Amino acid sequence: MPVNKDAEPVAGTRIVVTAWLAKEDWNSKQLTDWLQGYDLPAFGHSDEPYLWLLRGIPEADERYPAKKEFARRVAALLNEQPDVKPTGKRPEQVLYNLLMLCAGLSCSNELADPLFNLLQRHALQGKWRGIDLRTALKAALISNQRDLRLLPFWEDALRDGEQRFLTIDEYDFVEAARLMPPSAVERGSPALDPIGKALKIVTERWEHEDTRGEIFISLAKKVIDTYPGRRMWGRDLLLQAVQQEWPKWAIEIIPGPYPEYISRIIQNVRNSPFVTARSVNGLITHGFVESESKLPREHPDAHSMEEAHKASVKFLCVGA
Amino acid sequence: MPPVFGRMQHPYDNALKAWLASGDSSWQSMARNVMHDHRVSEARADAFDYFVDHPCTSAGLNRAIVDYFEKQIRNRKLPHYVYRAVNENNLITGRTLLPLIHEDVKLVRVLDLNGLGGVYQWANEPVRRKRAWELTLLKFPTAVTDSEVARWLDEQLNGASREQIQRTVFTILDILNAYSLEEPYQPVWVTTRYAFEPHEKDGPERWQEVLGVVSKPPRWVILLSYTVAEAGTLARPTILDAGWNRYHFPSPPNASLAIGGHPMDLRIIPRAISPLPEYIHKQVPHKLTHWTDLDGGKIGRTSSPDPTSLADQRWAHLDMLKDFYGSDVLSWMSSPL
Repeated sequence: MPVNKDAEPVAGTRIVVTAWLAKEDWNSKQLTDWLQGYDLPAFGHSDEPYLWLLRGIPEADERYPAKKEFARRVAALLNEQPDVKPTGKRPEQVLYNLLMLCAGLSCSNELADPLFNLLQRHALQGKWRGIDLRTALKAALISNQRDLRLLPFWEDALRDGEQRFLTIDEYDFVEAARLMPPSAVERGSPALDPIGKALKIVTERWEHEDTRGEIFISLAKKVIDTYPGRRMWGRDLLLQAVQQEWPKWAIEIIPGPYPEYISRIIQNVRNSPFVTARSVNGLITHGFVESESKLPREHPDAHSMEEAHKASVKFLCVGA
Repeated sequence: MPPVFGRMQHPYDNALKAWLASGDSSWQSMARNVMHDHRVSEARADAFDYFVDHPCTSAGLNRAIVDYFEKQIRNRKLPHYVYRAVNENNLITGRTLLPLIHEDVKLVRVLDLNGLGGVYQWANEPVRRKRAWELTLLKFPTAVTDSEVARWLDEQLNGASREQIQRTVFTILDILNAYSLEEPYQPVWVTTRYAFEPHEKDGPERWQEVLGVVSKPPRWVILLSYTVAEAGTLARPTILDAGWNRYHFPSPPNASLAIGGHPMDLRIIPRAISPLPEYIHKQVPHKLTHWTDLDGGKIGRTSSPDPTSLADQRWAHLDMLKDFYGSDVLSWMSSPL
């Protein structure tokens, strides 16, 4: 329905979306119409409708509540099971746009459960513009994780040789691990074990390629950049290297920045003639012990080095 | 009573009246385009009418334009506009023995790299991703949104060496070519190099603006150039090929077929004094030389949004058409809204 006057495209969409979000007597039909390109401002077809809807979400202080309300309405449409009961004239377009809208909204409180239910139904099939709808589901799931519950799905989907409902590769796994909270109450913190596992898989799959270093650094850096200002990455990734038995070449290039005592441990690994995981892990553990003994007790990292030392010894013993 | 496609038939009266009376320039523009686009043949109008529910409502006409575009244009290997049976009056090449325009004339396509998010997502599916694409797609985002795609392309292109940029453009064209083998993505909009050349130095905002393209910045944009022969069947566009797009503007009846349509220049001060030619063709494979042949490769990043109102843009365009083709234009379309 015409509601905007002469607004430029984004502002025009924002007027339409804001008016709909303010309506109390809404139903999912309007959303379904938009998702297949109906009733949107006339801006052509070069972008999918979900992009226009995301652009239509208000900015600044209105953004967060508007996003939450939008996500609640998207969840209502997901709960109507459009994967089981086809909706609209182009059901694949509706589903693709719905799932990519979920990915863009990234509101796990509202969307994690309905998306998880959709995954468990295993009914989603088809393509939109050549893109498998399960690729869109994967994007929606990765962007709306509330805890570790999807980890077994990612690990299962990653296994070779069998046809899985979701196809993922090492990049997807890094992406999933990067955005996965360790638990519902620890959101905003990295899930270190899944991250360590994901980076280990990258090292395995790229072991014999010339570009392995570039790829490993790039992915590890993307993980680190997801949690800006977090100080313990050097220690945590070294611990993951011990726990997951990363190859020596990957440990040597763990991207910084990190404190001098972590640099020293990595430098010792580089300088060492040892290449087996057990020997390298021993070097790292020794480095933790040394750092712990050298750091004054009042140093903010002293306690964490003590923890790292204990944890790495534990992993070494388990491996023994 | 409003005409339809320039003819005094009135199957969509209620919808068109509602759009004209809406007070909304977007819907009014669409009404004018439906009313005055004489380039839509009777056969094509019939084909379009198949998508319209009767009695025709405002929502029904909107749906029909979207559905027709999806079904007969966007997703077809051979889109409707290449068929003589429905679009012979708009075919520029492949129409007669002697070509209407020289086959070696160069065309220019403005390709918005940010606008290919779905294509990259397709290429990044594990079953499909080629080794040669790995490094470029390594950090392609999971959530394919404006900001994420922009961030990813900025990382690839901002401050990169000429060689790195060339490698990225080559990969993107390779992905686009692979995609077009499997999935239609129609139509391709072009103008001639002759007409576009004066604007090349003005940068990416102007490249889009002069061709009537509105997109939310930032966008990485490249210019591709190739011959009429390489484009295959070239056609004059109609509103049905543009779909639900208020920035499309029909060309007047006295414009020659050879010059195609006319994109609406979005800059109104200073206003354009002559129209550019506008054509469409179906997807063609792109070689790197299509990019490098233009001074080694033209690429730019848009940063400022178009501040002009649609009403002003459409009035300025109609005014330019009137000055260029004469006041007869006003008897064809008296108002753009």
